[in-house]
Amino acid sequence: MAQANEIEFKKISLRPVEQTWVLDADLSLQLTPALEQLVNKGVVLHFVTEFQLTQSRWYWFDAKTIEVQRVSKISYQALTNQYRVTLGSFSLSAANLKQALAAVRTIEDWAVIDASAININQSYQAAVRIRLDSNQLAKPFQVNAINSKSWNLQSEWQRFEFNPKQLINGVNP
Amino acid sequence: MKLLAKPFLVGLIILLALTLLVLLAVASANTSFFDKYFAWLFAANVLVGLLFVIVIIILVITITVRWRQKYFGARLIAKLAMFFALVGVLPGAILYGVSLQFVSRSIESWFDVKVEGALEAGLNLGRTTIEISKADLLSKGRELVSTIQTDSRKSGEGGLTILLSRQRQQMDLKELAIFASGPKTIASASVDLNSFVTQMAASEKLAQARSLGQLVEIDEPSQEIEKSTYRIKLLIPLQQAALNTGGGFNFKNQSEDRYLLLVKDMPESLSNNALSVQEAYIEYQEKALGRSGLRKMYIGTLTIALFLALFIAMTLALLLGRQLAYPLIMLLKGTKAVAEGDLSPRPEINTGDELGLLTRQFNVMTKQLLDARNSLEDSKAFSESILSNLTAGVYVLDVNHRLVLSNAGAERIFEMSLSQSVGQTLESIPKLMAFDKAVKEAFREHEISRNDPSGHWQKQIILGEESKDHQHEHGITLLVRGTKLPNNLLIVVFDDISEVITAQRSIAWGEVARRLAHEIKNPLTPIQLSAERIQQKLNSQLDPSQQEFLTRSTANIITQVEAMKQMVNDLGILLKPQKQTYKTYQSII
Repeated sequence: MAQANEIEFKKISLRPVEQTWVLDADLSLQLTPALEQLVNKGVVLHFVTEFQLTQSRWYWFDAKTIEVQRVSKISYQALTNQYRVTLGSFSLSAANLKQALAAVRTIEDWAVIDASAININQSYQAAVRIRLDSNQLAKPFQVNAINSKSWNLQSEWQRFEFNPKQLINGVNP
Repeated sequence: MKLLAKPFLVGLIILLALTLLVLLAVASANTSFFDKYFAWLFAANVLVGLLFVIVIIILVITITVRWRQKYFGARLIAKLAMFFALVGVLPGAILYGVSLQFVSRSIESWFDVKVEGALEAGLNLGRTTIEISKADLLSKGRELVSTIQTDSRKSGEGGLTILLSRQRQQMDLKELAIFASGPKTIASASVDLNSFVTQMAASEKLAQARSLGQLVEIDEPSQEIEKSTYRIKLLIPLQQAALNTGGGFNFKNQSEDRYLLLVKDMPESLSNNALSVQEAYIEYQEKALGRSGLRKMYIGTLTIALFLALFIAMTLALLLGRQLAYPLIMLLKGTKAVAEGDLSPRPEINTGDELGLLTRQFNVMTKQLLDARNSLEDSKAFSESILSNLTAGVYVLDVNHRLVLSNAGAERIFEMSLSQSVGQTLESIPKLMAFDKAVKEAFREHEISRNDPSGHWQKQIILGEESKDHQHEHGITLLVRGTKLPNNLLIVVFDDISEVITAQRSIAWGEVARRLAHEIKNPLTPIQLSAERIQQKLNSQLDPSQQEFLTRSTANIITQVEAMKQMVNDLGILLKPQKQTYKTYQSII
């Protein structure tokens, strides 16, 4: 059985925009039937996207240079039969769940790294993951989430090499 | 049992578990404080519950094993523990069962088809209201479009603005505008300065409006942008041809698309009502969906509470059972020790109740027992010392003539140690075979005659008679006295009276000698007197030669008689009886 609730990152990249580095990513995300039912009944789903930038150290644990996260919410508006997606302070309406999920799925121009926080000559390990924040669910669902996989939606950490200098050279040859 | 040795630790664990349980119970009651850690809390409680189950199982197994091994006191503790556990667990289990039933039923009862239908209907009502407003706005918009198309020829751009302004007031719109893609506002009328033109002029929205003939968007009320009501935004493309034919308009670009934008806010009260219906509907749905989880949560909490109660009951049962059983076990050990002869005092337990009193009383009892035994031993030693100092021999025999007791006197008389022969019959001891025979006979005779049942028999037994010897150096004469004791024991007391017999014989012989001497002495004086008279009478009649012969002869007779007299007198002195020894023997017997 193909794991339907497995989240995969299809495309992921960091690019410099002015004084920051922004993250673009595209991932395959599908709700389990249980979660779909939940959201269609009006329960708000909180998705947390986390980004980490670590610098490996041979003598100790990796140093965490940057750790940021953002929350996206999907909610169903029963009266207008619309879905609303909230990304931080920005919100938009979607006519159906697919569109709403697409908005969560696509990460675009997420400013994750402040250029001053990193050393351009060094190479870093970047990691991204997205998960359903089950702690934001009502308690009965949390109880379900403890022992049922269909209530847990979580991607593995997607790790990739981040080499600022190469990227800058590559973008602006 | 190690756990029990540390009641403090157990108490701490119970306290911790209780805290966790209380937290869980509080968290279940919808306080937002625990929202974040609820899952953890629940998992921790489940873990603790499992731990308790394991501990309970271990305790039960321990008790069972001890029971099987017949460990001293295990049964008592197990029984007490069982009672206490029963007392604690049974009500808990009943409560649990009832609560379980109650929770399952009551959770189901919250979800009623009627309520659900009503909420659905309310929601539909709200939807319909919005739909109606939308349709209304659409029809008005279409009307307005035709008005604009007919009016546009007459009046210019300024007239258009006036028209829009009038229409906006009439239709109670928030904004009414005509714009071209760009966006470029051609004419507009709005309540405040905010315009939705830029927002609606996105190319895909315009395209959609063109292809469908209209575009309706409904904005949800939201706190973030201080919008308290539903807002309907209607976008209708104005027909190009109609506008182009209008010569009065001076459009810069004739091929330009134009759109009419209508923005209307729903009445606030209506919106609020619809919102609250939606909120209730969502909440209801959420609860309905989560009811299995809710049930799990409540049942889990209840079950953990049951486990905790069970654990506390079991632990208390074991602790209390031990406390109760401890004095009893001490007493049991004490009685065992007493039975084995150890009368040393046991440690007393100061519980301040009857059990403590019991142990104290037990000690008092053993002390009395000890005293009694000591005095008994003293008196026994006393009588034993008397017995051993007695010159008479004492045997105590049982019915089968087995030796029960003998004293030093007996050993002396028979010149053999009898301490190893206790429990043997006298018959089996070679030296005592004849004695036994005589004693048995005497007892039988006594039994038969029986003229005096409480009395005793007395008999003289001569042992070693066979060697006919007057001095009886090997044979001994015993004066034996036997009595049957009330407890079927036979007591035989005997005395070596060989010496007494010898003394008696010598006395008898002395008497005989004395009489003999007397008999001998009696004729001596007449003999002497006769001899003297013969000499006196015949002396004058005889010639001198014969005279001399006579004198000599009589003198000889007198002298010899005198000597004999002396001899008899001496014998008489010698034969005086020695009464001293006999008397002592008499007094002893």
